[in-house]
Amino acid sequence: MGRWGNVRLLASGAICSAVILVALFAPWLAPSDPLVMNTGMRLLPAAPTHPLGTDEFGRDILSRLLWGSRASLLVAVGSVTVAMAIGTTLGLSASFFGGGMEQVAMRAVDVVVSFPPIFLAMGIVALVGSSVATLVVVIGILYNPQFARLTFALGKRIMSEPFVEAARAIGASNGRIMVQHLLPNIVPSLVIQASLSAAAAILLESGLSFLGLGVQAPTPSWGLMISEARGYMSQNPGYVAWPSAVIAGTILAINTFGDALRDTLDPQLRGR
Amino acid sequence: MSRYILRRLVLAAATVFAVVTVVFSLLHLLPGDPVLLILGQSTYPDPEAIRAVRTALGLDRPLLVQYGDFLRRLASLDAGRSLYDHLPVGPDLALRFPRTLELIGAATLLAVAAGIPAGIYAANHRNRLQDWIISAVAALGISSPVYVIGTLLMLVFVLWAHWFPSYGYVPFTARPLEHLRSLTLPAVTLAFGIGAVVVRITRSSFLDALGQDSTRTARAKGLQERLVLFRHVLRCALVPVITVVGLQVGNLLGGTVLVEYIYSYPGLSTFLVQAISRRDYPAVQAVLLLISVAFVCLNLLVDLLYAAVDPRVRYQ
Repeated sequence: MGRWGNVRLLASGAICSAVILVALFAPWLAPSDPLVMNTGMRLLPAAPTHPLGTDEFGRDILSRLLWGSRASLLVAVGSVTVAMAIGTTLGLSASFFGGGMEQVAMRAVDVVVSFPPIFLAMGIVALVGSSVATLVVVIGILYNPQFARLTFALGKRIMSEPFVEAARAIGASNGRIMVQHLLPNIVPSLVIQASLSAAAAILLESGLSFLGLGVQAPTPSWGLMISEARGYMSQNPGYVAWPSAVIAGTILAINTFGDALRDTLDPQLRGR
Repeated sequence: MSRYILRRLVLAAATVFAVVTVVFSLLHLLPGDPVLLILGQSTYPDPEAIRAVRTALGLDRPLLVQYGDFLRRLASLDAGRSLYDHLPVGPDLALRFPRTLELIGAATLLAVAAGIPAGIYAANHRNRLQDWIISAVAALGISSPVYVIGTLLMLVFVLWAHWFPSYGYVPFTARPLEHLRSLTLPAVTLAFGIGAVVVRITRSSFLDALGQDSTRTARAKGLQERLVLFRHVLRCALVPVITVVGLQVGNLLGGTVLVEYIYSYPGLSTFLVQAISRRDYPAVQAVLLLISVAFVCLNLLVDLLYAAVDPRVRYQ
């Protein structure tokens, strides 16, 4: 691993940071307004004014791609935060208190896992309509089990360590043990899980947007762009190719980053 | 083993019950009046429509009565009536569910048939160019959303090469060959993601097995290399592959949503998307229930299979 592992971590980390920077600075980076239509310039191939061509409404594809990163990242960051907050709280309290608390928390998690995520998300979106806030909450709830189970398993192990016993012996409060002793030992694993969950969240969000049940037009989002481009694949193949490449590349980078991070932080899991 | 099976069965039954309860209460847990949720925010509340939905779904009765009624209906396998055409939803589900299962089965078969040999090949050429190429393709396969793969395959094989019709489902009983042809692209699309996972796991567990003492012993006693690979290494390496395939089959269920949509494959997912666009809540609810219960059963099956393969699991 060694040198190659570092290259992998740095390269994937650089791509992830680039995507985040693009999302932050999209208004300054985009050559034109992603929403301005120009029916005289429909489905143009790449040209100096429109580096990646234009879509069926004459909108600049590059600008829409750059702006589209915002929707994906917003949902990814938001839902992973929600998932981590719920999951970590459930997992920590279940491993700390055990007994009834453990039963209630972990069985609730089991129920959430019994639904294939995309179906439950579709069912809820069908009722309350789709918005970024809905997606964040729904995906956050759907992805909390990964964090809850991880925190629970690690917390259980750490609870039997001598330093927890020592902390208790000198009279540390429950809250102090949880925050000062359990949490810091779990954080590295949480970070890895967060990056993998973020990739999964982007997949789910873009999939829902592709179906027309996620980010709503005309707001640019990658899944929606691919969905719209499907109707014009033979006229302008670049229109469908670019968002496809961008989304696959982003997810590849996040997944690779998560894997490389795990290899670096936890050498025992290498190669799994 | 029988004790383990019993325990898993009880747990699965409890989970099914919980799932049914969640699906029932979904409508009531969400903020807002259930009737208005069903009708949608965009429509202005028309008193006549509100009354119609309320009586059609029995939403005017106490919650517990509704719940009891819901359970009774499910016990008699009644999936409810559509709000759209007032026909029972059951026959539609019975027609479409097998198609979705067929799609999942075909995709799993393809993924295993292609993924295991590719993984073994990569392991045998470890750290050489072949291994790098296979691993890179696998990484790309895992990271590419299923709808991206589907859209690109459609562009290449339907629009450019004209090898397949763009859509249109042919029943097996009508024209078996055409049926397989219409199944090919959706199944290949769905197989990509799980196939990539199979390649990775096969490669790493094959490498693990190659390094085992039993393999060294088999070689030391002069067994032919072919026999070493097939009798010792492969058998040992396939256990994790089976587990992972089992775990992934559940994910395939989610993948069918997008695949069916892209190819207009008349399975359960297209029915769900259609029901959502028609704001046909009873139909949405029925699909959710069926899918979730199927998901629980699938996971149960995988657990039991795993316990049969690996006895250690039974005592956990």
